[in-house]
Amino acid sequence: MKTRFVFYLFISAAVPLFLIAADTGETGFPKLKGWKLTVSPDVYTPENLWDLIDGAAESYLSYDFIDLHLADYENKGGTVIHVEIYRHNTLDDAFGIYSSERNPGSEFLDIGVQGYRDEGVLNFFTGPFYIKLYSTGSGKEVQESLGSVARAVSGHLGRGNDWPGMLGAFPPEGKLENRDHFVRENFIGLNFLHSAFTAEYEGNYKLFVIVGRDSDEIMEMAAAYLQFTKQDIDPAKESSFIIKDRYNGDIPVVLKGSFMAGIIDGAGNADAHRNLDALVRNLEPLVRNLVDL
Amino acid sequence: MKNLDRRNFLKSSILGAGAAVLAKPAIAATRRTVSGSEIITRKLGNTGLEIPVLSMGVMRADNPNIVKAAMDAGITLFDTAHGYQRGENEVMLGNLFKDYKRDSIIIQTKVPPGDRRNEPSDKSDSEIRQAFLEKFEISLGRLKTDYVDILLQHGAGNREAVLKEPVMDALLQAKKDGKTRFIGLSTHSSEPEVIRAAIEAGIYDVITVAYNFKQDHRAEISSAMADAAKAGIGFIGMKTMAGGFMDQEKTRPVNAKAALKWALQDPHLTTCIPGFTAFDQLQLDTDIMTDLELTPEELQELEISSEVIGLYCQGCLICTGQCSKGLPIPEIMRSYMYAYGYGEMQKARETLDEYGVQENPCAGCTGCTVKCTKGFPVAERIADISRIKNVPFDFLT
Repeated sequence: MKTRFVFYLFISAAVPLFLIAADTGETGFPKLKGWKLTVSPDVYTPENLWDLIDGAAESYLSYDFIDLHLADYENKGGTVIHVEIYRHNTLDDAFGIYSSERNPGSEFLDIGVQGYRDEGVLNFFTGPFYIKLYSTGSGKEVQESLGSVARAVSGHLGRGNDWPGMLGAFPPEGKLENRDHFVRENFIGLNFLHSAFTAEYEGNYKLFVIVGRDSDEIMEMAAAYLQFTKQDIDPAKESSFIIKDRYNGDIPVVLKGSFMAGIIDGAGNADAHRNLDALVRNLEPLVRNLVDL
Repeated sequence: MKNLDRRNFLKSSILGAGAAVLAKPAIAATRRTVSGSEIITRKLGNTGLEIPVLSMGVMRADNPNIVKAAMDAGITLFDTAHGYQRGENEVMLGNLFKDYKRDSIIIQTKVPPGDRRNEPSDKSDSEIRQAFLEKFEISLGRLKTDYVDILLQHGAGNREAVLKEPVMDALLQAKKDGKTRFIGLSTHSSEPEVIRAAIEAGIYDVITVAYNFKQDHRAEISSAMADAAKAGIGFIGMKTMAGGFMDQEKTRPVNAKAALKWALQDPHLTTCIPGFTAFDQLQLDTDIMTDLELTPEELQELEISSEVIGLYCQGCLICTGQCSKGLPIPEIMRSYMYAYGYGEMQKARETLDEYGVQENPCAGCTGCTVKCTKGFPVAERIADISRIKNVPFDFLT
């Protein structure tokens, strides 16, 4: 994870997070020996995704969904693997939708950045792509076939295995596996807080970080939040205080340059505060990079 | 004789659509008090459930505190689905609802009838039925409950899907086993066909239907809902925001409150399930729970002309029994709306035929005893629309 974090810092130094452009790489399905490939002529876009997945489309659209390509692989034994490649705008978006559907109790696999397999299902993400495979068949052979087709698709897309770099800033002490998320909008139900990365810890608390365009945007968010909670606090650019949110409870926050970090459901937890301090320390290099731009 | 289309009919009309009146709607509904506010509630078909006009589509809400806030605001019905967030949505609700009295909440979930894609399935009927029930069992486990209130077949898009026997069998089995109180389906395509097939099937209690001010075929949906309501089917509205924007460029957001109010002007729609993810959206939407009156400004924002909206009979039924000749006034007003609002001449005629309305039904009356709460000039409209009885059906378009 450390290597990926450093890589992220490098990227951050070149391009601000919010300016990373959409990945317009070609979506494609590899040909596989022993499998007949049938690519569907139907390509789904934000306008018609509802036609395929009903109300679930709303979630995908909120993570800057671009398009969806479908294909089937069928082998001589009659096993059919359906593959769906959802293309989103950024790696963060793909991780966001992937993590919103990820069950921490699944069998996790090193496919793409990360994948998991349940009975007849294998999902993974890589770059801006969220890939879902499923089969109506069952048994060991089908489970293995899901894995081999998934690896081939991942290799064909060639987007590597880099996690969203911001995740590397969350301290590992007490951090629960596979319970980190990226929320694209209306973080904790507040429309003035846009996107946030979160991680869950032992003790049932969460840490979060919101990265703004600049410190002014973060100050505006903090001001809007304090207005929402009717608190008479005039925050400085580098400050910490507790937001008393009637819906979400007491939320200790730290403002530092272009980010806001905080604790949810752990205002009275000493471990949570220690980890928040560590998170802020880990974020500081990022902040410097962003401010320098 | 030329076919009589909307234009010709209106041209020969004494009144025309211009006389439409925009007045306070009177909705068939009751009110109940929550935290000092009177909330408008409606009955859901023949289920016996009485539900606030606003419910919650939970599909995107991953913060249980929003659901809690919705409950505090008086919302009682929560809609989710087996497939939302790959089950995590049901898990979130289950974790929250386990701490509440089960009968204080109405849970609606939806199970897909087969594989995601609309491809022919090689599964036998027995396998389809079994797979449906297995998915439903998983949903019950996630929701941490022994039963849901409403179980829907998710996304029925045509007559064939509605009448698919193994799925109907599975729904009936779930109901028989006490694992759901009511059964139904959700639809957001070919809605009139789907609704009419549901009437034909005779097993469905509830339909969750896409219904909004932008649909070209909204009159057909409304008409199908009216027919289904007679068969005791209750309706829950979804996609009321019509995609969220007035323009293709997505620069002008739809006025959510106005769009919800518009949908709920249809008396057969019991409640709507907007999918709010923020507290401010919830606050805005809950305003309609106490006031469904569409203002002229809201209508303007929805780009609906006041002439057209003024044609809506809300089916408040207050006029029932007022006519000295016993005419079915709400149905005649609905027929008038089909003709003058949507140009659905055949539908207008069918409605009159269905209720046995004759040509010149007011003959012999010296004064109208009906007082419409919406201010409709009832006698004039009856005179206008009943002339359609003179026209051979085949000439109507």
